[in-house]
Amino acid sequence: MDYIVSHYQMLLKAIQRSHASMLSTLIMFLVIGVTLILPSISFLLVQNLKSISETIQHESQISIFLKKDISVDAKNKIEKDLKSRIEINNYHYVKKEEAWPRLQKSMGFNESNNGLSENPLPDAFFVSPNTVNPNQIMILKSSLDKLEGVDQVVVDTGWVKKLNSILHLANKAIFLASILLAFMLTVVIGNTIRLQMTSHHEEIELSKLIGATNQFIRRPFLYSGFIYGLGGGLTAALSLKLIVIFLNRTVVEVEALYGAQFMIVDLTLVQYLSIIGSSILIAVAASFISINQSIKKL
Amino acid sequence: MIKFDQVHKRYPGNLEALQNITFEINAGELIFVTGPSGAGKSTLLKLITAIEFPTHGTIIFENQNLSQIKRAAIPYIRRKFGLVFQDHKLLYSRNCYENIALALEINEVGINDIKGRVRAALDKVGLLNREKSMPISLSGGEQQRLAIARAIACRPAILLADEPTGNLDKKYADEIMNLFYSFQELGVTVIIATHEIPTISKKHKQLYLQEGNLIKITDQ
Repeated sequence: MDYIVSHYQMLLKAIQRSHASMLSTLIMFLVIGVTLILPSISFLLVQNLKSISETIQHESQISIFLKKDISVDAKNKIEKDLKSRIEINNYHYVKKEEAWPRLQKSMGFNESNNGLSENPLPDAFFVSPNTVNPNQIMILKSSLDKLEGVDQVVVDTGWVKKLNSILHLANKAIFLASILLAFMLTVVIGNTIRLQMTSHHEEIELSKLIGATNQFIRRPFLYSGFIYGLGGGLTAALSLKLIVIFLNRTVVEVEALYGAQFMIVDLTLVQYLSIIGSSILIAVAASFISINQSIKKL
Repeated sequence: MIKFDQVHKRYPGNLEALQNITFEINAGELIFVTGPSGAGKSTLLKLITAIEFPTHGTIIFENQNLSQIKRAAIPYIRRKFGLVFQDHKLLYSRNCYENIALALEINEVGINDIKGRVRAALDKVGLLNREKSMPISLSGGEQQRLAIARAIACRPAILLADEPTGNLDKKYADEIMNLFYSFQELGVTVIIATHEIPTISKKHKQLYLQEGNLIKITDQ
């Protein structure tokens, strides 16, 4: 019981210390908050881009180009096969006679200037898969490739793949940036705690002389670190929430003007708590390292 | 209780602070460690309290060899001593009550006992009416009494004082010395390092040091 009361008193002492130097405490909250917002916002943007890319991927098509000399029976067999597959959401058939004028129109050609003596396009099925998983789509592609009468199967997800790899790279960059920022925070918080210890040097020295353990000396400064971490984490989480609210309000205005449908997906409660938790963890770890170094010098 | 056996202490720069010191202190004794400035009195007290460690020799305290003690055990050894310093080492940002309470917190005294123990210690040194005062508002003698109150609040087995009357005039010095005599009467072992001849009572044991050597031990 006394142990808990002692911890409670140390926490109170740390709060009193923070309160006594209110301005520097608030600056510290701001420094930690802003530092944590940078990777958090990047993470939020990547998450949103990912969900957009997944939607696009879901809407992507598989084009099945048939052989030029395919028989009607073989074409019907392929259609029957497509109808029976659960991994296919829907499909439609486009005859080469319909596709050719469309292509000419979109390319700005006509019969006289296209330079071709005959229609080069094959008959084709355009398939929307039920899945967004790239691996499952590739399995479907290779299975369709094996059907009799099929000349070529093209999956129209190339640029989505590129976007995904960019997002993957962005995720890695955010991770590395987070590590660098965490290191920077460790240095800043550690230095602040070191300065605090310097200003309480006499008290620490006396405490050691009259029997204080390192644990006893460490405790109030660890609580100071905890307060910095908590305050900084809350500042980051609150600012991020306000940014999401602000951006979504702007999106609503754009939506009203252009009729587009898009909302920025907010972080989950667990993700917000992770930001606060990481902040506390970094601050307490930084304090611990700094305190230990200072104690060793005593 | 405390046994020095052929203890040497050399500081960096080959400065011999103590050489071949051998003596024994029994529980309940009051001992004066005397000698001129630079004789090694403070070093001797620092060795007893594990603030410094001998270069050679052994120091036994309560059956523990302080020369080989683990770092983690040092705080618990120091808690057995009440330390009084010439410069008081008071915390001037804390009031009298808080100065003493800190020592009790370090000694893990229960939260409910701290108030009573602080007031009892202040009462013992005649400063009960000054518990809310800041140390800076106290006279030199009162500050030293406060330092003694902090030392005795933890009820140590041994009270060590390094030049406790160094900065005080005779009236205050007598008051302080009378406090130490009263603690010894209560069974506390008291070790006082001083170079002031008038302070030294001829009734008590004396260790006389000179240039790091124990010249004589007088036991009345």
